[in-house]
Amino acid sequence: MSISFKKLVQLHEGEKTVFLLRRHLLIFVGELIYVAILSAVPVGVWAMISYLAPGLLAGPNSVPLLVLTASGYYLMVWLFLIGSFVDYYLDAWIVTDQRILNVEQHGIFSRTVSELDLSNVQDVTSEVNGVIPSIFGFGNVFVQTAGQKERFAFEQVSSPHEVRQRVLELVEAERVRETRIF
Amino acid sequence: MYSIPLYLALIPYAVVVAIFALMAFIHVHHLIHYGAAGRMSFSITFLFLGGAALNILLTWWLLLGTDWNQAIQVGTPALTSFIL
Repeated sequence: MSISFKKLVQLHEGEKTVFLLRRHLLIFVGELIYVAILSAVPVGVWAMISYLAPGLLAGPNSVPLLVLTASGYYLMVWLFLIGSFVDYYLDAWIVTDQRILNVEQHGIFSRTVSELDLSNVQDVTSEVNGVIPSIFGFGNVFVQTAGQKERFAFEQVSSPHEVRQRVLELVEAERVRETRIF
Repeated sequence: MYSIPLYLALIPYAVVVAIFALMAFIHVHHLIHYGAAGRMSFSITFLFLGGAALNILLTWWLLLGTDWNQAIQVGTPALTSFIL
């Protein structure tokens, strides 16, 4: 679960990282199933051609052309796999004892880092919707801040109710800390 | 009906390989730069690079002995009649 925080965010003096969240692993497994289906497509096409037009596979140039096409196709499928993983892995929520940081990877060249102070948190809601999320124990956590319409959302994270509880504890601790300072 | 040498088919393949290499470098760089220390990240990167190397090696092995100067008949009657 390590991530190079210093390259993404600068922690304040004395600030400590409490936990780091990513989407549930099952979300990435879903992408793997998609990759498996894409990988099976050339086999299906080959079976169809050998049934409908076996002559196309028998020519002297057929093998090199098919090998080059299949190789290029699988390289692109492989690229899709690593792209999906990077998107999954670099989307993270970092909760410190003072802030919540949201790191979102959009494609290859776009990344958004947003943050909110725990002292501004007003309400934290967790939800688990659907059969698969209930079985595997993942869901969403929404963090509502004062004066902001938009909610901060941890999407498809493991154990959302426990995460909500821990965030609320951190909010309480931060308020106590701020009261002592002022 | 006309013919083109088979080696011309290597040009689009080379373009695909070049795009793959560029994008793969960017993805792996992202992972290393922002958190390749994780076990899962390392495993996926290893699987990705190993799979890509296997793909290229298998392609090279399957195409050993190919005569790249032989001609591809474009618009052969058999193919045209099948497609049309």
